[in-house]
Amino acid sequence: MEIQILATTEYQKQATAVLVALEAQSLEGKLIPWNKELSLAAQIYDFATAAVAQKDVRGIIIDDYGIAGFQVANKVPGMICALVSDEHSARMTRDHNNTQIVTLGGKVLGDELLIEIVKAFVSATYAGGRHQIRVDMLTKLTEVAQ
Amino acid sequence: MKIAIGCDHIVTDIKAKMVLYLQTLGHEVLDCGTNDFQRTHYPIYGKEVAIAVASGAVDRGIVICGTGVGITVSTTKINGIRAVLTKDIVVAKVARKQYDANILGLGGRVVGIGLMEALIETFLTTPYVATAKTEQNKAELASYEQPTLPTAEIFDELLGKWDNGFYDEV
Repeated sequence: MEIQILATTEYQKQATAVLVALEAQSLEGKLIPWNKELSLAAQIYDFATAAVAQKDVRGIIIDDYGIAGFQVANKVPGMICALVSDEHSARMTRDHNNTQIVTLGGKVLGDELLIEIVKAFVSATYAGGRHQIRVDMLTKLTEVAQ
Repeated sequence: MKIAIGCDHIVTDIKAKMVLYLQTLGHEVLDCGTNDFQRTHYPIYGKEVAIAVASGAVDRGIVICGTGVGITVSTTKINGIRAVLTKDIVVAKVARKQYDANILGLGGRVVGIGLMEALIETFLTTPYVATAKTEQNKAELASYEQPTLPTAEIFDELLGKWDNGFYDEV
């Protein structure tokens, strides 16, 4: 599993703090360089598209409120992306939804909560079973849109 | 306003409370189900709410499941949907004001009834403030969509596999 982080200019500090916290748990994260020349939506879309293609990637997106990440990333076929602001949702959505990316609002989350959410997300595993038909249904919805 | 609402089978009682709350506020409610506690699958109801919103049949949509993630993600896959999933009133407010969000996702096992009502109230009363930047962001989001809506039969094949025991029901 590879952990990738995309953060807007304002939240590079939080992204770095997440990397340090992951390292303390012997997990390696990779910060995707922010490109000032491209729009936020374009970078989110590329980030989510790459995550779907690489499969074994967990992504973290940090922007002001997490809203843009949630709206844009989920338009990528095959992407399941969650906007969360608590550890329980972060863990449960990995477990039940096979969520690949979480988006976080750097403006609304304190630094410690943000790190704890990431830790909860990356340490949880997908349960499969009855949840798989729902995940297949989500995939189906974007297949038809193509 | 006309509001479509949908949920999965673990939060049907909570959805019923929100239907009453919406009616108390004077809104017309289109209840897309589910309507009991029989095991079912959240994308069925998320899709119904999303199509009602995207087609213009209703003004806004509200969806609820355990964390809110599954059912809200199912709405994002429908063209024309700009959803927000939150338990924070400030995020619900910004989602309306800056992103013109048309669907609110809620976690029935994350948020209490009082906060849920406050989130809904904020979502329904906060106006969108159009600026050149917000309009550009909306257009950019729409540019990632394709101009098709899913058919009524879209889940039939998967539901058939479910009935035939393809999926492990644990």
